[in-house]
Amino acid sequence: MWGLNLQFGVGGVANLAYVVVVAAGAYTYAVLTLGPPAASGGFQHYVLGLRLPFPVALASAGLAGGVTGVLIGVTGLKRLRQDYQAMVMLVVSLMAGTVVAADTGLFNGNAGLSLIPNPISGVSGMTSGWPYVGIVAACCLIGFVVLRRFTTGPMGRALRAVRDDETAAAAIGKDVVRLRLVVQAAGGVFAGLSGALLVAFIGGWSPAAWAPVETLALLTAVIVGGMGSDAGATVGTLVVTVLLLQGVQFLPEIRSHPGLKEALGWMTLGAVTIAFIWVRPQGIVPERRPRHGREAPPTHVGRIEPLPPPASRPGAGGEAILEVERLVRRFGGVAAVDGASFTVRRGSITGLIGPNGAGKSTALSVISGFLEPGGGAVRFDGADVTGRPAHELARRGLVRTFQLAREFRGLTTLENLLVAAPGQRGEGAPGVLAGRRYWGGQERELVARARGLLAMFGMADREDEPARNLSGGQKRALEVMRALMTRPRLLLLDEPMAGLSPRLAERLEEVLLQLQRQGLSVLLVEHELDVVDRLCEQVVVMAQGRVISTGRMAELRTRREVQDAYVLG
Amino acid sequence: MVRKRWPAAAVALLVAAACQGGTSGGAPPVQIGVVAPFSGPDAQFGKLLSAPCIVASRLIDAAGGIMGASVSCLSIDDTGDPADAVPNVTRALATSGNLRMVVGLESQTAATTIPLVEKAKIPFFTANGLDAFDRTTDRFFWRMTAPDSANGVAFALWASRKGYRRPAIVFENNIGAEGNLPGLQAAMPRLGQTAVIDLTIPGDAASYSSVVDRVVAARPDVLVFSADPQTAATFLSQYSQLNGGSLPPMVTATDSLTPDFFNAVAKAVGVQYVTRSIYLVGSYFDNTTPAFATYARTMSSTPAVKGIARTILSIGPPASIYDGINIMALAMEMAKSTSGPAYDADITRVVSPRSGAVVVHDFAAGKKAIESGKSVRYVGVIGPVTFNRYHNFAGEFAANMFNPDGTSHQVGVMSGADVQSYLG
Amino acid sequence: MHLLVDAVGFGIAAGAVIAIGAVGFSLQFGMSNVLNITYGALMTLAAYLGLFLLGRGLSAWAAMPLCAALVGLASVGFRRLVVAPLRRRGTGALGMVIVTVSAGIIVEYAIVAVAGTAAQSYGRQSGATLHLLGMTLTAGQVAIILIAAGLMLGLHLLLTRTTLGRAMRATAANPTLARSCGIATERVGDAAWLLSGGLCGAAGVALALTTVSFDFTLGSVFLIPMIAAAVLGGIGQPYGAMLGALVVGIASEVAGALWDPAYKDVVAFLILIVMLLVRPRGLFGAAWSARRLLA
Repeated sequence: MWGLNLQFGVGGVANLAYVVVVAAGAYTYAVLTLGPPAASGGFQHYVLGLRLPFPVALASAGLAGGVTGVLIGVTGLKRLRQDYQAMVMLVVSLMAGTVVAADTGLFNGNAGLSLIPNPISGVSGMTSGWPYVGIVAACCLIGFVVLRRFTTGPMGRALRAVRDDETAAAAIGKDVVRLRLVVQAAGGVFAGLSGALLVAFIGGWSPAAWAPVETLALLTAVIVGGMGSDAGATVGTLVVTVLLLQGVQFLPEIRSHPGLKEALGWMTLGAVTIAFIWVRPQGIVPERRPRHGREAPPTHVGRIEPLPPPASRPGAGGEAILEVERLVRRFGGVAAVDGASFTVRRGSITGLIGPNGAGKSTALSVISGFLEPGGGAVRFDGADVTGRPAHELARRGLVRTFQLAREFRGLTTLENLLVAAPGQRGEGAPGVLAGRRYWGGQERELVARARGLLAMFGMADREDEPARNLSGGQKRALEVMRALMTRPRLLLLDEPMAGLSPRLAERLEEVLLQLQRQGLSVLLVEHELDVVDRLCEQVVVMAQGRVISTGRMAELRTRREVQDAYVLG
Repeated sequence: MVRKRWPAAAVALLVAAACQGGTSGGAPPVQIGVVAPFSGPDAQFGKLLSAPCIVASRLIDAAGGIMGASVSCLSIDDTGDPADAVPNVTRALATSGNLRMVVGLESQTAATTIPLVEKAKIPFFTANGLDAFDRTTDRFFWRMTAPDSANGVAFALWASRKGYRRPAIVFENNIGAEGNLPGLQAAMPRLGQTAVIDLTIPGDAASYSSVVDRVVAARPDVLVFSADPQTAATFLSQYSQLNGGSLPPMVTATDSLTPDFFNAVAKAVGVQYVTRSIYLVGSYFDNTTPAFATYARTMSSTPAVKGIARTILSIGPPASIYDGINIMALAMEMAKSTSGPAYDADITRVVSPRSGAVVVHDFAAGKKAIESGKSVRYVGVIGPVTFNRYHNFAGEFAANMFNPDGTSHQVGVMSGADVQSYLG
Repeated sequence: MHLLVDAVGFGIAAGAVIAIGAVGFSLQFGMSNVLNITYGALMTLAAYLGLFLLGRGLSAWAAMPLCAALVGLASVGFRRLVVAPLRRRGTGALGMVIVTVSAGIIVEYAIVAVAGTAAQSYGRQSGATLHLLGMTLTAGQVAIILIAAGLMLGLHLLLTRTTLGRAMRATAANPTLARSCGIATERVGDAAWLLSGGLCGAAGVALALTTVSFDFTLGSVFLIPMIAAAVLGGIGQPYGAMLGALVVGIASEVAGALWDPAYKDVVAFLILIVMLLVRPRGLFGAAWSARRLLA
């Protein structure tokens, strides 16, 4: 159950194929603990039959679950819509069921495997169920502790960010593919273990035991309980199993309709699912975001902390931090960017203006790695980065913001900033396993830095607010702050002033100028030409996918081709 | 599923552990557990298996009960799914202090539920045919149902008796059907038959046209077939349509002797084919014996089971359950105990021929004889029984046919020895 | 060879039924952007409505348009009462799938509550077979192929020759633009769900006629080949769905004839997965649909 919550709730991967992973663990355990087929009566046929001891088989089942999870995860990684992904998962589970059922040599086909050894049945004098309950309880406890570490630390925060907005997560340097596979693997290990424990308990396993429809009951449990909340998963399981599935058993039997009771049970399950999505999508126990104590007062109020030292290759790239050469990007037959070339000087704020549809945002997306270029080259800091993935560019220090704010809805304002910090100790395997001891110190520094930024934009009082509750302007400001948290060297801002209150806009201008003095380079796409005038020494004008003019704002205003473009555009 | 069952399973285990040893003697009512699917797609099977318990308990109560204690049937739902069956059976074993005998335990869940009952030291008569239990050493295990492989042989033998030489084997890929295949495939060459085609089909497909086309092209003279009602109806209808409206006769298992199968197939290809060309082969018993008369009379006069009485009376598994309950009840009388370890050994004695033993055909007569100090030999609905050292007994086989009203009649018998000889 | 030719014929027959359903599904998905799993359960509902009407003395062929109309209305009702309000509440694509799966289960088990789990049938089909181009087809299969062809032709005329059809295509291609062009997209949406629900109903009855025997899982079992056909042809592309249906139908039947019948269904699964992973816009999908399918 927790395994599914991790994958579905936290990771946002609708893993309807979850049962396949459980089944993989169960089958692995079964064929590892069973003796050779001939020795156990010869009536069932299966592979392996190694008669391994319980702990080895259990560990292998966890491993098999993890591997299966990753394999299924890989198929889901094509950046399909969520509902398409769900369909792929569903079909994968149907197909796995069909193949396992039809292939009698693998796991004895539809008849399934039976007489699977129970870890305690061989031990003499242990006839009661207590020892097994103990084993299961111990496994659950260990599982829960690991799960808590996984979901509550920086790793969990990063995963939730990926769930809320993959694109924005990539923009702040999160390797979405890696994170997703990690979730799949971790969830898979849980599922595999639970499959093994289950099969050891019931002693048999057949395709009938893992019909996809059963996953719906599981999903309902997660939805009812609350997505992304460990306590919710537990509450949901109890509600769904006890109240719905077992509850209908106590209804009186109506003789004329033998299947009625069961039918009513399923109908209720469906209705409850819909009702929860309708009325309370957050579930009974909503995902709670941590509040950060006062232990880390804001540092550098009103001042931006120094930026990281300049590039390790001194002088590389010379004057220009960004060089764009004959960049092309087509959609269908239309060239949105059609051979644009320009440069951004190190330590400058360069404006990028042009009429609607000139290709400014598209150019920004291609430069920052969100769209594949159709031709041309992008050099960042002297290195050719054409077509490199967004998260890699973000880690190199080339970070963008979006025209429409893309906050991580489910995280608090403060967390939105924390998640963006690069090189977090808590995001790796040691961080997850060792827990807060390992990453706590770094976390305090980050909190202080984030609070400094919030104070600067006058948003200190909103730090524990879920980001979805912020006003439009505050979301835009959050977006810029988040980009700053990554300690960028070149910031691509896509209309940052739009929707900002005059006070916030003014503040942002000040911050940008201050940062520029500290060595930050900025490429600013902006419609407000007055802002561009005030901030930018150099301005690039685009129209119909091409750069038509470059210069200072004051000169440009007088140029004929620029005026024409704005009038005609 | 799966993880969702954890809480249920864990609770069952806790209760099981807590209740251990909490039972004591006395003469409260004796409970007979019927482990069978009472919900899910095979719920109808549960009714077939619980009906003989209702009948037997009614007769036992009428005879004054087992050592004065009345008898009741406890339905234990195995749902046809091992993952549900295990917690349900565990719970029932733990919470029902007076569960003294168990019957049912059908093939879909038997492999997982039987070890539980065995461990609880409660004698049980199982209605499954899994080959896994042909040579079991379980002490409390008893079976009077033929193994599936022997059933498969009986299919071939019956087809051969009817003069068919070119059977087509078409089995749905489900657990019940697949058990019959090894015996069937082993027996055919020995009977001079050649399977013209041997196919496994998926259940409930929208169309079997291409499969049917292959079977038609192989020109079989008989279909040896096993599938659920809906699959059978679709397959046969398309067969008839692609074969110019005609269908070869069919040999299938008595598992299909259900109203669902009759209705589905009759609607699809007509009642005439169903009543004239379908042979349903399975365990046999003689329906002219005194034991059967009692069994049939009580079945038809018990309100709860009257409606399905005619179906039940024509098939083997319910009859073997009825006999099994009587045998266990008499063994209890003999051992003067309802405790499993105490009466288990008397089960063989109740049925074995001994000099001076009174032959009895129902519980009432047996009880009277035991009370008057005589030894008894129970000869029930399925006839005289001798258990082998594995507590197995395979009787004779019969072929049945449907009547136009959905009931059935016997059309022939094959001896157990005959069937065994082709099993190899 | 003979088996192969026959299998192609059966594939066309199977494809005809898939086509009726898949075209409706594709149209609805293209218009509303909701992956509506309830579609399968509504097909089942149509089959059972047909059974009820047969019991009232109608022939299956006469029941088909009635069932289509009733299921069409049910489909509009589902859109109005469930899909549209949830959409306004901001339920995401995944939430929507879970809702439609749940609604499908409710419909299926409501059918069980009324009609039970036992297999049902419209009765015997005539035994006549026809031989066309070396293929063997039953009269019923030919009739369904003709009905499917008729429906496809009608749909083609509707989409190309009527104002409503043009409005639908415009809305499917770009809802925002269509709205700003003065198309009443809500009403057009209703019309699309009515139309696709009608096709769903017709497909349900046609399917019940082909399988002869069916139970409450009829439609949901059939959903995968149907979605496979729709995705193969490109979501929102009715003509693509027709071709996709033929491909899926023929591929499954040929696999059943030449390979292990137990793996017959796997063919549709494979087609669907490969298409979703490799080319989610379908074989004939236009650029716009690709953009809408990618996250």
